[in-house]
Amino acid sequence: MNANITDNITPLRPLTAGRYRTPEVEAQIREALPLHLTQLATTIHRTNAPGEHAIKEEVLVYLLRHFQREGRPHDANVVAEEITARTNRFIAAWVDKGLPGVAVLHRERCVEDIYLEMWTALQSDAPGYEFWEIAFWMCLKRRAANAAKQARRSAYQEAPMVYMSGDTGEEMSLLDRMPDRSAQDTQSRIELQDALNRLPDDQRTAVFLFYHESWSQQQIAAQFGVSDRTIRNWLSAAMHTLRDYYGVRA
Amino acid sequence: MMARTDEELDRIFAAFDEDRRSAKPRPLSAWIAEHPDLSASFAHWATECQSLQAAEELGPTAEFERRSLQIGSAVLARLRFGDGAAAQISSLNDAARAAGAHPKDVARRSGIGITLFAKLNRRLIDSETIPGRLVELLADTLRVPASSLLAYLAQPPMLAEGAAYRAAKAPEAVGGQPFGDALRECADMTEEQKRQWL
Repeated sequence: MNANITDNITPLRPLTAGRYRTPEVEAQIREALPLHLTQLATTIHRTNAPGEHAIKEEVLVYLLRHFQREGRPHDANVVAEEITARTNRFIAAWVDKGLPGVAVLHRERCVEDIYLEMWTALQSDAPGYEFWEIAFWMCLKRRAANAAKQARRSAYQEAPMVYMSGDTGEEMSLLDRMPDRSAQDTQSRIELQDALNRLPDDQRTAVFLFYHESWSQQQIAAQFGVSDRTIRNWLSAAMHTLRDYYGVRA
Repeated sequence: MMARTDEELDRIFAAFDEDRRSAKPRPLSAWIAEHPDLSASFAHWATECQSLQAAEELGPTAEFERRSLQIGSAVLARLRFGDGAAAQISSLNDAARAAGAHPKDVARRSGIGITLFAKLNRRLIDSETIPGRLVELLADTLRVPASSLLAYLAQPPMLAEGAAYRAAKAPEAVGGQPFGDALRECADMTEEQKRQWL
């Protein structure tokens, strides 16, 4: 930050008592506030090249709200477009790769929902949305996760999975044959995740808890409030789907 | 069950996410024991994080990335972000009439019951819990910028129009009801209609 900007410190809009932006965010806000539109556009496009630091997303949120309050729509739009550009790849990747097998209509609706939730929060000065100025990506991830859940639910309501009944213990042997995660290369891990993402939410979580978190079927049943047999059926159905898509060695 | 605000959830999940990505994360069951009301969300989030990691490594297809950007830009344009001249809304009923519609029609076109619309009109619902999709639909139907509508919904609750009170002190409207609760209480919506907002 250069000296003449430090001399002209603008008091920042405080957060509710007990909440703090990081010092880096506060310094970047102070640096950006006095800039004119063209300087601002250059500054917010800055990268992490040697000698400069990219403006953080939390700073962009502050600037956006500040320009809204000040009645500076052009500046607000410059910032809003930058936020869209920065978040798009993350949102597109999550929906594109996180919802395989879900119809395009639901995936596009999911993207729209994530953007809507984000802009609704960013447009508001209410204390409940202050956390976007503290941990932007976390706030966005949570909305994206909720929207993805909703999209999966809508997709599977239209084409419900048939839970295969089975009391043969087959799911155990299939799980045993799933690849050892520690030995997996990146490509295999991504392929397995792609297959897992094709499962309905409950099955996917059950597989995750069983395989990744090493929970017992009883623990998973308690988590979902269903019987052990239901969990066995879910795991069995999940393994059949995984075998179809990923070719879990059976 | 304890009702959590969006910000509380953001804070808890920020800590949870940081822990999950640390070298020695706490067991999932420890987080669930600490916040039992969030057990389903923790399990879902932990599952989702695996998916996110793979998604970030792989990235979207160029075509989907372009489409996503189109959608994002369209949402931005619809919300008329940064519209400093946004008109103030005095009430949703007035805004409906100004748009040449009856409040009932606005409610129907927005996919909600008139009871819920009335609660929104009186700002009895916690604005932070109202789905962004509904805000946008309502703003679109009322032909007002979403930012103006949000500003209206975030104001303190108001008493019912035309109601008469006889009391020792001035009456106060009680607001802050979570959207989900208001939705569940709404008797003039079908379960199918309610599901699309949950």
